[in-house]
Amino acid sequence: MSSLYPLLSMCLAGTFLVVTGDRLDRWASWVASLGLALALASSFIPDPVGLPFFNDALSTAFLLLILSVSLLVCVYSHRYVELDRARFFGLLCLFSLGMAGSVVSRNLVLFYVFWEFMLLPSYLLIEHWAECPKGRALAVATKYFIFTHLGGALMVVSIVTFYMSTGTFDLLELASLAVGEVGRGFELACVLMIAGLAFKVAVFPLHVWLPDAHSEAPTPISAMLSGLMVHVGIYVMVRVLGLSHHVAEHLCTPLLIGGALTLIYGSAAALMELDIKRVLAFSSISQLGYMVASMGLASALGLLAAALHAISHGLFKSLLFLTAGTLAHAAGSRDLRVLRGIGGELKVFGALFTIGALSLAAIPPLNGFFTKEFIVEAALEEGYLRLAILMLLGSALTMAYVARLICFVYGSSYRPLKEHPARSMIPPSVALGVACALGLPLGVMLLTPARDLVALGLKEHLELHVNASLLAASMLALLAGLALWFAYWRISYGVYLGRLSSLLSSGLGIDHAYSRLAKIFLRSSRALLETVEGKLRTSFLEGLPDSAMSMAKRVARLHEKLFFSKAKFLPMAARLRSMHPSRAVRWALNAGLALLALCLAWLAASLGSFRLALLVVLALALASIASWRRVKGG
Amino acid sequence: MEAKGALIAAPLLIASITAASTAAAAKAGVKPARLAAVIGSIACLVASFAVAPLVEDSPAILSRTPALLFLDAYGALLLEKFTMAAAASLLLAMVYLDRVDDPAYYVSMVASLLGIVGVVYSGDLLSFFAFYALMNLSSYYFMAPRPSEEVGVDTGPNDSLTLYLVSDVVSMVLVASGFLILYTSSGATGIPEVVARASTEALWASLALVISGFWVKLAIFPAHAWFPGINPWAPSPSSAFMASAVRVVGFYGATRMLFTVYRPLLPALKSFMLYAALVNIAVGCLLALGQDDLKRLVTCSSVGEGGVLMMAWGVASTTALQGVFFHVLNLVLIKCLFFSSIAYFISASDRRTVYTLRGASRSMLLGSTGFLIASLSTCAMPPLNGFHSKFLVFLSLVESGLLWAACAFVVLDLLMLAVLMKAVHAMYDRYAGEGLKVREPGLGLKLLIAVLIASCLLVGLAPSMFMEGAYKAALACLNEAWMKG
Repeated sequence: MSSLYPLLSMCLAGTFLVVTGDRLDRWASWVASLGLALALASSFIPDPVGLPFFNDALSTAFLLLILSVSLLVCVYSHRYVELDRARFFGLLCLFSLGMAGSVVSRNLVLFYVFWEFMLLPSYLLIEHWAECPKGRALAVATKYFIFTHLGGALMVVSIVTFYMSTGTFDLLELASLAVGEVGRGFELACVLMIAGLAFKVAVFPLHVWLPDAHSEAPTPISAMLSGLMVHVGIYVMVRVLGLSHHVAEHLCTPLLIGGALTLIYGSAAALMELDIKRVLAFSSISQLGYMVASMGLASALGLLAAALHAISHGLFKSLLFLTAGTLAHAAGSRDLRVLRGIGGELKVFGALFTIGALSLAAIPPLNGFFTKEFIVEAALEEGYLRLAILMLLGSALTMAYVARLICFVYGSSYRPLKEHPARSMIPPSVALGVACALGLPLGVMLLTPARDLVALGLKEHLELHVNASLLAASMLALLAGLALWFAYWRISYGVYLGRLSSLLSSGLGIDHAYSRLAKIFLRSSRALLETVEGKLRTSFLEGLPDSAMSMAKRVARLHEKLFFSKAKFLPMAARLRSMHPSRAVRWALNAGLALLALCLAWLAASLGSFRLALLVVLALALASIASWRRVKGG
Repeated sequence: MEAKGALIAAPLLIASITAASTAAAAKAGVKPARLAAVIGSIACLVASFAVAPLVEDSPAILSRTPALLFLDAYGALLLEKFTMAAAASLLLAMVYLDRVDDPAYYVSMVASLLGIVGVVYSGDLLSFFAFYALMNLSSYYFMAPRPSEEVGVDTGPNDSLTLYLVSDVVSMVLVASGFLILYTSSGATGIPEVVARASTEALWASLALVISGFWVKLAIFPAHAWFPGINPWAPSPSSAFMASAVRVVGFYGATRMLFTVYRPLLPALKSFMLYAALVNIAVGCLLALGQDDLKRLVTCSSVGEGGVLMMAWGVASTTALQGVFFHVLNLVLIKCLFFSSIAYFISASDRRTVYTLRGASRSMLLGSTGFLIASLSTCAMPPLNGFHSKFLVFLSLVESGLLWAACAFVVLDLLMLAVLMKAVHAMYDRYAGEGLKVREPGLGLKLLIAVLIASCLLVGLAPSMFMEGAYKAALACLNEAWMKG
């Protein structure tokens, strides 16, 4: 598999579109789709040797996920964006480039470069094309930027710490060095990296940026944010935790607690939301909680389960966002109460949305069922019964809000459509729907000797068997979820706008706390800056450059005094004064040409070859024409 | 000379042939001279890249008498950078200075290139000085201001040119004096013999002179005055060549001498060099702070970059050398991109000040983007090329326990970012730039800028190959295995 050619293809397509701007608006989506299709096709060409890229099953699986979903999103967006199309598609390609580069990089510095590179296009995509007023879009994008950068800062310190403790940036070398006991520096580096990644994968309470960013971004970008970008963080966590079992054990407790809190909180908040995209955003938080908790099991099985669920989630979440966006666009609103019955009007999109929703709820035989079962199975195998129960509770909540979504989408009200979806939106959604439906073959593979193929190189000799009691418990959880939804419907028709709803939506008050903290920080920074600026500006910012410049001028004047003075006791000065610079330059050129001839002769004598003798002849000819010159101007 | 030796000497041979043929073609007119210069410089570039793998593990001695000529990984790496700078500058001259009807301009550039290549290959003091002098003498011509080519730009006082001439003469005199002392003390010109025979007193005496000479050439504070004086007034291709190659030869020469002849004295000098480096970076930032003219702004930032190069002497570890050598490559790309973008502005609108270029991105997006990329790369923004080299330098300071210097390095970098962003912000001002009349620059200039932008991104995204080359060059510089050969 190749990494270089896909990256090059996306880079060229993205850069070309961003640079050409408005001139390519009509063809922008075609160029971007072609670039991404080429990237996908060229991923099967082998890389040249010696590149710092991964070439194993894990990175290949994630790379294929990123490339294929990005291509589908690009095709979907063909008629979605009207303004600044070329830049939109260019930034989309560059965003995919950042994600793809992050998953294939073997060198930590290169990985960080791609990681940070992801930030700029995604920020611009959220800020410029957001589906909300400009002021809110800027606030949402800024919050996303700040949180991601905070995580990035921790990652930089982690990378430096890795290097200082091991002398290498290469992940493969780090893995070989980490066999057995690892030093404190290595442990610290892993902890810092996981802490930095926790911002990106929205572990509670660092999740506050995700619901706003994923819901206010344009629909195609929401699909990429929820379906791909957060999973890059999961992928890196799997890589880092896979370096050393010792380190994974140390991080077991915080990951388990963080994961459990996140999955319960995300599901509960999704149940209360009325904005369809915010429901899906909170459900992403919940599913990420599953993955983080699975990684907290500190075993190869747990890491594999998290990775598989990330891939599966990437498919059905992208499908959900694309179809939800289409439905919302057609209805003219994202409010579930306005969307009631739209599934009946747009049957294809309604059906595809349902497939995605059922996969999210882990209904067999869709892909979500098998990967979620695998996570719960892994928890039981490692002896974490309470975690398994919490996960089943999460499943019940998930079923409840999925049932709520489906009921609203297929509700009985009729409202005329504001806009009919473009035809280009159908094929990508169908493709993703088919991918979700391929869960059955995936499940069958897990139960046959072919399961080692699905192991992504994380676990040798994967052993799985059908756990009838777990299956029964999962079905019970689904039924409990349905019952919960039924009760919710009876109490308030699935629409609860009380204090609990707003509390969950605002992250249990954490968002408000962050805002207050930020305001305090900004106020004190402003006060400090005013003091610094006021007191030091005249002496530092304005005075010092003047001092440096005046010192430079003094040196120049000293030069002038030494060499250009009219004083007679400085013969050199007198001579230089009398010489016009152009004469000096002409003199220098002549001297240079003469020296050129000498140097050529010197080289000929030293290297002593016939070819050089020819040079000497040329040099002699040159010396004879050295008196000729043409100088123009001063 | 055997086949392998001939191959390793290929850049030197090609540079020689290019210089001679350009000089000969000059008689026929500017077009043949220009063509010979451009083709020759590109051939030299290709040859230098081909030669580098041959010497990365073991150096090659090409000649012992009368000149000691050799090439090791360090020399090969810098040779690649210098020839790249020359090729880019000559290409820029070809597409931008199409009104220059002066073949001697191209002759002077290629003669200077030969001087640079010869300096890299030289292993004895006489050859070194001869090629160094060739480089300097030739550079005066192409650095001379040419008012008719950059229309609308004040040519500046003649004193700037005179100051440059004088500073260069001073540099050459100091270096020559230092070499003379070494020769007198050791009775030989070959660097290995000098190392073996020169007395400690002679080493100290010559150190002061030689390093001062290269100090002036590299335009380090307080001997920097000539550089911001002359560079803004020279044509843009000359400015690019001066900033990325001619001046950096001072760094090459000083590094070569410090790690060979003056190696026993280096531990005593390191602290001083480190302080001087940081002061120089600070001075560069402060000088750039007050500039409105883009060329002067970039030139002042280049003064600061000299301080980054000096980190190699101040830290003198493998990581520091690796970072600085990689930074030399990045400097070539960044400075060429800076000056190409400025050439774009001048060519399209006859403007080159921050104030008059407000809102330039509306009508000159490529030039503005090139300037933006170069600015971000200079200030070590990922994922651009400048990030990796400066990160290595930062890491070397941390590894050596110089945490205060590492913090100062980051703060000064941020200061330079603020200075450059002032100009970039003006260019991208959405509320200005209406009614700015522009001409369409040539396709060649646009292509050059696009290629340089892509190169900055590519090197930034895939730096391993270059970092490995820089690492081998650092080892070669520290081991100086060619002296034992």
